[in-house]
Amino acid sequence: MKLNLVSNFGDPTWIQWDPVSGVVSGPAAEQVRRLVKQSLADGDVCTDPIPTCYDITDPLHSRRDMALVLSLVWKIPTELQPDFPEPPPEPELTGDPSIPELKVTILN
Amino acid sequence: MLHQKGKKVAYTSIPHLGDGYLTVRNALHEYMHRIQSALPALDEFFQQLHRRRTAAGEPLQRLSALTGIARYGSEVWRPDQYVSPYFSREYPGDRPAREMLTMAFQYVLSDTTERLALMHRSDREMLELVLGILFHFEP
Repeated sequence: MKLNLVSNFGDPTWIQWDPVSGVVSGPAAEQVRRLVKQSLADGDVCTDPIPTCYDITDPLHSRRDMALVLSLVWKIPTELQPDFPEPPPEPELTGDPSIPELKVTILN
Repeated sequence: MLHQKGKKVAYTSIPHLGDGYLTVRNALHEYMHRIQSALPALDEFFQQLHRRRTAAGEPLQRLSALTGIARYGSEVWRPDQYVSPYFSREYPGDRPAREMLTMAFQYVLSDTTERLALMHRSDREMLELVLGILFHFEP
């Protein structure tokens, strides 16, 4: 599929991506492959809504993971918007949290 | 989530909660909010840059409309040529651009190499501001 990549700056670009074979081509392919490699090394992608991180495992074959990786630089392409995961629910703030007392030992 | 006397002071929504849930880049981002609060003179460099870049007065737009992420709710940004629109998110008050400093340091110190390279290619002024502060800023 062809994915048009538009950002807040610079010229639009695009990639051709086959999620079955995992092959990416097109003018932005090299940049996308670098993003994929770095994101896999991290094991997660921290993106919208900031600050939210999502685990990823296989961006070259997973529409969800590819949507997350591309969102690091570009707006989520229309074709992948349905695959962008729902962020986790915001935890409710219930009363005063208890913070365990810290025990500090100073080693000489 | 961090609390101070029962008041929510910072929030991070990360799916794999538990020990080690706070990733380095998110931790740095949130810590820079604390630095921003403690050192307003430091934050002022970023407020000035944002004021200059948005002097044309582009109207505020909703982040949810731009990103398609409903969770952004009523959060707004002022369009400019930042590498991410979240840099130019605005808050009420006289120091509205409170994500400039945090995002800039995140990109330089704790984000993926590709995002740092992106800032190097596309927003050299922001990169040089951060590096200048790291080397020369004295509170």
